[in-house]
Amino acid sequence: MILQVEAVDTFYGETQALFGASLSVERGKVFALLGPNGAGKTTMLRSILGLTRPRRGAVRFDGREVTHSPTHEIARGGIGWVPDDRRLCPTLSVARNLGIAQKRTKFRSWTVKEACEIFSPLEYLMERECENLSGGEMQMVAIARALVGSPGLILFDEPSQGLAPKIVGDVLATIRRLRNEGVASLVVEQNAEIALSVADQAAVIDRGRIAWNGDAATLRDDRGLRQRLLGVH
Amino acid sequence: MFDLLPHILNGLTLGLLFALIALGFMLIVGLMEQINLAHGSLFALGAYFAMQLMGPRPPFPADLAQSWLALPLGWRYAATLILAPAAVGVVGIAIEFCMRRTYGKDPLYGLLLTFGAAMVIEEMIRLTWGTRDYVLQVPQAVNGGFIFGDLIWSTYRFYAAGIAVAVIGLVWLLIEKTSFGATVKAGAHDSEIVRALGINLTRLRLLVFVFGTMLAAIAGIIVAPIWGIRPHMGVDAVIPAFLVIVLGGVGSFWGAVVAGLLVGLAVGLSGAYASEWSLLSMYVLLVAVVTFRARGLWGKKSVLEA
Ligand SMILES: Nc1ncnc2c1ncn2[C@@H]1O[C@H](COP(=O)(O)OP(=O)(O)OP(=O)(O)O)[C@@H](O)[C@H]1O
Ligand SMILES: [Mg+2]
Repeated sequence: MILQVEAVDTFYGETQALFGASLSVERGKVFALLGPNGAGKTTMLRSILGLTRPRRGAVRFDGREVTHSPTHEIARGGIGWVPDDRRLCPTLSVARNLGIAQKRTKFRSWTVKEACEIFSPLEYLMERECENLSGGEMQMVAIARALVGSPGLILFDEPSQGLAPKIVGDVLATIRRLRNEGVASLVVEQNAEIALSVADQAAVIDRGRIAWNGDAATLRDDRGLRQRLLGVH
Repeated sequence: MFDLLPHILNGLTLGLLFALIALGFMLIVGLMEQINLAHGSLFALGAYFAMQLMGPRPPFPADLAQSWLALPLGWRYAATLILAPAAVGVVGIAIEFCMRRTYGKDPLYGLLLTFGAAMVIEEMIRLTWGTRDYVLQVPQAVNGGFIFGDLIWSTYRFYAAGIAVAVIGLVWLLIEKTSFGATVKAGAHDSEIVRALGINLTRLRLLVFVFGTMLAAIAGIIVAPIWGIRPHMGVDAVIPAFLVIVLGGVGSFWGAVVAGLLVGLAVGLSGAYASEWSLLSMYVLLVAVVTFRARGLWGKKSVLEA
């Protein structure tokens, strides 16, 4: 297991958003965390990164407990993050946004050039300021930014949100390709179909509790189960 | 008209120094989201430390003090330009350690804390050096004046403007052309994401705070021979710096430089007609700008909303 989240309770002030939520991601595999609006998907990613610290429970990454580590050390351990709203620095160029994210970890290193080869259009956008990029381009930069940090695991928050179907296809292809390179992904999605098409394992979260956990294929093939858990498709 | 030229030069020189103070102030507002009211006191401290280093009783053990005094004036001055800001930087470290607990909280906490720090520094200055005015010795080469076109020009003003331009240029290179500068900008825009990229924000903030503090100290040393050294000089500097940021818009490098020059010109020209009014003119300008144009000349986000 590269990531183990064990029974975390996470709060925003006095509001509890996660209730004893657990999940584990295997090395080099893709894990889909599915759930409706407000279920606690983003909160799960924030708990892993220590941006919103769990009040109880534990987070282990790569065999080391990181529940109380500072966020930058958790990231330096080899976790990348692609937030749902991308969060690029708008006044900096693409090259600068990637440059400040470069680091080495015990996992495979990616140079800016290698990260850009995955998305060929990036090469022509290097000097563009990020505020002048399209939504799809921003998503590519956000993924490349996670990659140049040499992660063993990337946390994708709703990677398909607001993107054209073709770009969603590119993003999914990238997740598959990273899997071939040994980089694990935790993909948080409302759109089950999209996430399940790339996932090995999956879990369903509902109002802060993990409602189901198992093989992605099971959920993919069992329409009845999917309907019961997610109420759609 | 022609005899206004020296006043314009004075104004521009002051303006560049205001811009320098404002840039340090702005870097801190940007990354910490806290207004550092002690910035002016650190500026004053720079001048006092330099005066002590350049004076007859340098703050060293006896034998070291003797060899220090034996050095030529120019060497001592050059060393002071580095040593005094470094010493003020240490004070900056202490303030930043206290300020840490206010990050991410209501800016009022930071305002109160740095206001307190400003009072402490100013009182320490009074206790140590008293309330009298001091002068900073400077090397002959930059002292005195010369006559050009029937007017007397002060050499020091040209020197001060030159140093200010050089330091502003270095700040520009650091912020715009290095990866460190990009990290500072990204951190000012979104502190969570830089932490999630693996950047130690705590250390970055300390570095930027100390850097801003040292810029204030350098400005203090350069202004000292123009204004004289007195406990109140910190307040006289922080007001124009604040004005420069409100005018130029927070986060805008060139905004700060242009606004600095404008404020400096206002002070310089009002000084030409009524010198007692020149400092007052800054305060009037500040009140007017905050009342009528708090978004700054370029309509960017105001420092008051930071
Ligand atoms: N900053 C916050 N302060 C207070 N409550 C919050 C905050 N962020 C999220 N919440 C609450 O926590 C719960 C989980 O939110 P979260 O953002 O994790 O959901 P999500 O599954 O990511 O939803 P979405 O699909 O809308 O992104 C929600 O009830 C939400 O209102
Ligand atoms: Mg979310």
